Amino acid sequence: MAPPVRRFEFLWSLANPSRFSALARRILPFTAAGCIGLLAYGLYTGLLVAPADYQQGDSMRIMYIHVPSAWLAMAVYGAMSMSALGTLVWRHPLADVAQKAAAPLGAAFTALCLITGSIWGKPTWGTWWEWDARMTSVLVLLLIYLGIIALWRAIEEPGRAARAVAVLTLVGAVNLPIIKFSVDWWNTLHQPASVFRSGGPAIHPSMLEPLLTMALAFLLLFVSLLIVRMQTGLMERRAERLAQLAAGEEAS
Amino acid sequence: MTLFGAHTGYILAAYGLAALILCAMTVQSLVARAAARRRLAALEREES
Repeated sequence: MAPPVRRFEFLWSLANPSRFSALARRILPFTAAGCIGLLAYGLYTGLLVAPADYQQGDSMRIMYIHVPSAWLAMAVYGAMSMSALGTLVWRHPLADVAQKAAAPLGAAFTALCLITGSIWGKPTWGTWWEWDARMTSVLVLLLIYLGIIALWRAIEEPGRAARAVAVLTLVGAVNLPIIKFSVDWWNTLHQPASVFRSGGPAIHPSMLEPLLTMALAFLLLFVSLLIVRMQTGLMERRAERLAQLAAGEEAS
Repeated sequence: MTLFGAHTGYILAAYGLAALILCAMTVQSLVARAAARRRLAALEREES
């Protein structure tokens, strides 16, 4: 078995903040431009080209923002769990920066998922909210995100905060399979999976194409904003060090 | 506006709120980076 440093050589090469910043500066224009292009195409096909659903009518078009938000809400948490492992196990110097940068983005995608789901639910189910397993478990995900953000702010010493947040993140990861399989394990108002399911997607290609386009656009938006927020985190960390140095010089 | 029939209001509300949240997230991230860059530049000037 290869040692961890060899297996994750690429990630370790980014441990140097200036190397990460140089790579981030090169990648950011492409992810941002890709996001804008895909958003424009996805909105055009989703709102104007794709047909209305034979049962739900046009309200189904909310799916093109609701489902990508739900996927991102879970994927961001999955990525944060990997970062938590990076902090606790491999002690990667950028893992906590990535985790701190990703948490508000994940919370925003989760809130968007809940809001758009509620708006879609009214014309489809006749109610804005139901305490069924899927909706409740996604609400719990939002509360975990908010808890993680609060914990970052509550502990002053960055190293201690990073370790505490990493532990909380890993504990909260148990909610991910609950969200995914809630529609199979319990009787829910929410429909079962229709894209990532055994037997292939149950959605017609004319609707699947805008859905996947919007999902890719949301993913690129997340990557772009994650890079921006990580750059911010690194600059704040350096500024903090300089301020401490200056304070130390003044004291002596 | 009847582009989406009886569901127009729901669709506009969902897409409008989505645009608001995503734009707010983007603007907040960019403003925070600009502020961090200014603070770091000021500290580096002081140091040198």
